[in-house]
Formats: sequence, C-alpha cells, structure tokens
Amino acid sequence: MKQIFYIIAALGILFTSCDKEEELLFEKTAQERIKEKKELCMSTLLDSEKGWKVEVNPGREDIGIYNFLIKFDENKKAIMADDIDIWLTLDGTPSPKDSAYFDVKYTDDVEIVFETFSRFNYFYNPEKVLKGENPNKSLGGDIELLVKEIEADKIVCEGKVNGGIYTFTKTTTEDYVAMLDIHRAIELNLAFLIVDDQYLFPTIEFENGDKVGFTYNFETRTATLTYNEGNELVSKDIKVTYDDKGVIFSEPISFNNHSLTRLDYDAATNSFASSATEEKANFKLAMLPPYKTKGLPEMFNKIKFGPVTGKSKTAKKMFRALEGANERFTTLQFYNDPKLFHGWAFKFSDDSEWPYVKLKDNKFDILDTDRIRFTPDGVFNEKNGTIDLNEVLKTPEGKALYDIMFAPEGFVVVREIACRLISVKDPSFWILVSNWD
Amino acid sequence: MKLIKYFIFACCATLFFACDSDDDLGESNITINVQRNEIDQWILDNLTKPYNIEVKYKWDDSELPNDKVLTPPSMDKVIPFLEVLKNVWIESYEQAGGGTFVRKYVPKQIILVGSKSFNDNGTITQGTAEGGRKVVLYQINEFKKSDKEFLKRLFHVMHHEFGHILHQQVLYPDEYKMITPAGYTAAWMNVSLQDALNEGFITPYAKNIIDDDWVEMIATMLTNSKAEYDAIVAQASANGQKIIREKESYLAAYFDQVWNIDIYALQTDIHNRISQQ
Repeated sequence: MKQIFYIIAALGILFTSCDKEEELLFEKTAQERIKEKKELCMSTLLDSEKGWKVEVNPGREDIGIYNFLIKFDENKKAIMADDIDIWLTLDGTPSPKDSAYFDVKYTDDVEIVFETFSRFNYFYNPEKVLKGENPNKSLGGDIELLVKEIEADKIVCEGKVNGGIYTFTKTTTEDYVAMLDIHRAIELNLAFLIVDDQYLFPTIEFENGDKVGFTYNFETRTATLTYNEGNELVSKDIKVTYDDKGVIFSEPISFNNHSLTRLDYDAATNSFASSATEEKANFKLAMLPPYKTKGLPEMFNKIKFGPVTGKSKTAKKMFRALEGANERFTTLQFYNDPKLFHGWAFKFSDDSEWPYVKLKDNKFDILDTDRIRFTPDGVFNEKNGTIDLNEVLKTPEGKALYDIMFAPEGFVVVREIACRLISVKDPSFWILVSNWD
Repeated sequence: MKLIKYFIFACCATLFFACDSDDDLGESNITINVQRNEIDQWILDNLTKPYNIEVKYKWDDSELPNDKVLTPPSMDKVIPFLEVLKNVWIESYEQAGGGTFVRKYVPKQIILVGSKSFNDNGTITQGTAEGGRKVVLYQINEFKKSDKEFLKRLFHVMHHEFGHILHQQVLYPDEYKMITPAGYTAAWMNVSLQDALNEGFITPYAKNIIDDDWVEMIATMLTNSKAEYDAIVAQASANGQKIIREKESYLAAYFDQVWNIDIYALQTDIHNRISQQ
C-alpha cells in the first residue's frame, strides 16, 4: 500500500512539475505594462506645446480648488504658474512663475512626482497650515500623484498620501497665465465686495425671492451656504474655483427646486450673477439675513464681553445711526459680567470701570425665538457709583442710546461669523457683538 | 526500501527538470537613469567622485519619516548650500584629519529636505543621523549664504551628527559619563540655556543623553570662534564653567589621541571659513 502511495506521489510531482503552461492574464508582463504606462505618461506630458491646465482639488473638504499652468520639458523641468495668491492682484503682480524638477516613476502605481520645491508644494508644506493646526496636517496636497487615467489631452491623478484629485487638461489657450491673472482678479473682486461690507449678509437671491446665505472664505476658497428648506436650517460647505468668467461651485447649489452651478462676474457693474444658461440669480449684500434661525437669544447669553462698535471704517458705517450723537459710540462695549458690573451693562471704554447703562434685573427680555429687548435700570446704586437714567438721557449719547438700544421692538439676533443685532425699529441700524463662544 | 530510492530519485529528477527553464523573464524593471541635470553633475564631480558621498535632494519619501509633512528643497538652493557644506565642513575636516579620514568617516549619504521638521512636542528637528551612514538635513529652503546665524545653526547640526558618527567608531572615555551622570532628562526642552550652562551643559539639548552631551560640546566648539565659545562658557556659574571646561579637556584629548586632530586649530579654521562666506 505504502509502495503504491510512493509511486503515485512521485508520478504526481513529475507531471505537475512538467506542466509549465502558464495562464497569462495580461498580454504583457507587469514590467512591460509599467514601462509602457510610464513612457506613455511622460510622452503625453511632454506633448503639449502650451502646457497643461492642472486643476488641484486637495484631499480636504475645507480647502477649495486651485488652478496651475504647468509646462513639462525634456530636461525634466516643470515650469508653472498658479492662481493661488489673490492679493498679488492688488499691485498688478502677474501670476508668479516657478519651476521644479519632475519625473514619472513607479511606486504604488505610475506616478508624476514633483521632485524639488515649488509653488505646487503650497498644499503640502508644514509651513503652510491653517491657523492653529498641527504643522504635520497639510492642506491636503501631495508631492506624488498616482496616475489613474491617461488620454491624449487629459490625465487624471490621485494624491498618494492625501488623495486629492489632480486633473491635467491640455491647454490650447495662447496665454493661460493671463487667464490665471483673471481668476485671481475675479476672486479679489468677490473678496472686496464681502470684506468691504463684512457686516452685511452675502446672499444669492433667486428670481422668485428664495435666498441662500453665501459666506465666502478666501483663505481656503470655500463657501458656507445657509438656507431654510422647509422648517430646517441647512448649512453646508462647498469648494469653489474660478475660470475666466467667474465663480464655479464644486457642486450645484440645490434647494427648493433651484440648481445653480456658477456665478459670472460683470466688471462693468462689479457684480456677480448667474450665467445666461442657468436660472436667474444674483449675488448681493443684504441688510437682513436670508434665513431664519431659532433659539438665538439663549445663545446670546454666552457672550461675556465685546465691543459693540469698532474703530474700523466698516464698523462705523453700520453704526451710523449713533455717529451723530456722540463720537464715543465708537468705543461702546457690552459686558455680561456679574462680578465686575453686577450683571448686564453697556459702557464706554474711556469710562474707567463704571458702566454707562445698567440693564434692568440683570437680564434682557426674550421676545421671540430670535428676538431680544434691552431695558435699562432707572436708578442703579452701587458702592462704586450711581447710574441715574434721567441723567444719562440728558446727554446726546444717552438719548441716542436710549432711542435705539432700548426701543420696545428690540433686536433680531443673528449669528454668523460673530453675533449681530439688527434693530427691529430701524433695520439699517446694526450692532455687532464679538467674542461669541 | 528500493521504492524509497526510486521516489527520491524521481523527486531529484523532477527538481532538476523544474529548474531547467528557458522562460523569458522579460525586460528588467531596473532602469539606470543617466540623464543628469546640472545639479546631479555638480554633486557627482564635487562630492561623489572625490569623497564617495551621495546627495539626495529630489523627493524620495522612503528616506524620510512618514508621520511628518516635509517638502523637498528648492532647486536653486541645492548647489549653493552644498558648496558651503563642502567648504566649511568637509574641507575643514580634510585639512585637519587628512583625506583618508574624511573619505572613511563622512556620512556616505546626505538627504536634503527643504522645510522644517516639526515635532509633536513643539520642537523642530534640524537634522538626524542614522548609523554613521546617512544624514538628513532640514530647512534647506531657508539657506542664505550671507546669513551667518543660519550657517552656524546648520553646521551645528552637521558637527553634531558627525560627532555621533565618530563616537560610534571610537567611544569617548568612560570617565566622561561620570562628570554629570544625574543631569540628563528627556524633558531637556523645558530647560533654559542659562540653567543648562549652570549645570555644566553647553546647551539644553546636551542634557538629553550622554551621547548628545558629547556631540553638543563638539558642535558648539566648532561653530563658534574661540572667543565666542569662551563667552558662552563664561555665562555659566562658576561650578558650571568648571564642569564644561572639564568636558572640553576630554574632548580635546579624544580628538588629539584618537583622530590626531587639534580641535582648537579646527575650530579656528571652520570659523574663518564661515566668516569668508
């Protein structure tokens, strides 16, 4: 029995080892396929006289989409320009050009590697991080780009570490660098519109009156959309990019049957509006927020201290209703400090430690889910001094403070970047209270 | 028994037949890139051929820690930096210790990184050395030939790392370990320079471990002139000065007896070279 087993085993091994037929899954070996893909990638990169438009979509949801023009040459140098730094547009500086050595290699897949430092490292650089972030958390960029698709006029890559998407499109535009300058100029115009009136509400308004809050962050090229959908307050962040016509959203703004993919810039009117092919919509800076929020008065309680006016030109503008009364309104401050001021108070910063007006019963009245009202104490005595409302009202600033701040209609409380109070009596009157936690 | 013999014979035969393969293994995946740019050529001519040093300045993540965000150096920084490195570090040691000494002991691989290397504890790593073979230098993108303080910082790293290589070849005297045995701490970054000096350590990092104490002494001596070094020592308390001078005497004797190098002459030569940049 044992002998038969040995014979069968020996024959089995003999015939198995003689079977040298290999089933080929691919027509070529792995080495051949890698080599071919590398050569194809390199020759495709070199085969664009005017270079490649490279759309960089970093692998982070909170970093927007940027554009490069890159020309690759046979000496393995990549010459590039980009539309990253909008502030260069201020003094007319053209898109800065930079260069790096590049190569096409194979690691996890065939990859394009930017081998020396350049502006392409903007998104993967420990010295370029968002405020307060760990230097070893990049902006979602990559140095090695794994090649996922190659066509004659398009290459799609994925960042090796952070997984962003890099879309190379062969450009035929004569001077794409000029295009990058236009991108930056358009973005700068949008930033100026918003920054100049930062206490107004950037809004996209559709023809039927539906509105979307559009808070733009030009540091990260992202926007926060806020709108009411039914009874729900929806807030979502989207990435944004630019072309030579205007702003492009990474995903359509879709709500209440609206769908908007972009806003075009009109230099003549310095305004942004939907393109002709889409539903009519306009970007505007609105006096009132485009959405309703609930429960804000309670949140207002969390504010401990903040200047209700500021010294900047912009802040003065929103406080214009009180400017005529007294210039001291530029230093008006709000306090919620039971120890220092025995409760809620307004004071002028040049008034030592004593409040100018103390609020009655150390509180404000909640009139609605988003509305409050201040009521002053008639006479308030403390060991440090006395507030007599009759004396306060004899002064121009006291009268103005009383008329606006203590109007029975109160204020609508709005929370966006900071806390804002909008006078119900006169919506053109705004105050902003910072230090919202 | 006979059958077992046949079985073994059959197996051996099979084995040899199986080894007899004429399969085409395909084209080699290893390609030797002979396309050199001007930086590659400069490195070949000035560092690889004369000193057998490989310099990697192009991005290669396999050479770097993968928990850090780092960048490669800018290409316009590489040659200017390497020129200074060659002049101030390699040629000064070559003059002091001879060509054989340099070719034998200098790290065989230098990796250049453009950015800072940030650590989780808030410190910055300026350079690392591995096994006497590889040195990684960071912050090359900040290199400016005219910035003497930057040069001193950077060469402090080089002398520090080279000091490690040398003591890994021939260890410093055991007596050195007994000078300040209780002064070492992993929390060295919380110690001020003044406190370190008063305790007999030339820098706060010297308090990390004994090896770092030894090489920080070397690096501080060789990146400062004699007068500058004396001024640093003079900041220490009387006891601190005494300890540092004792450590210095071990250092001078070690360089003289082990490597036949006058460390004070080397100090003067390096300072002159940095001043001429």
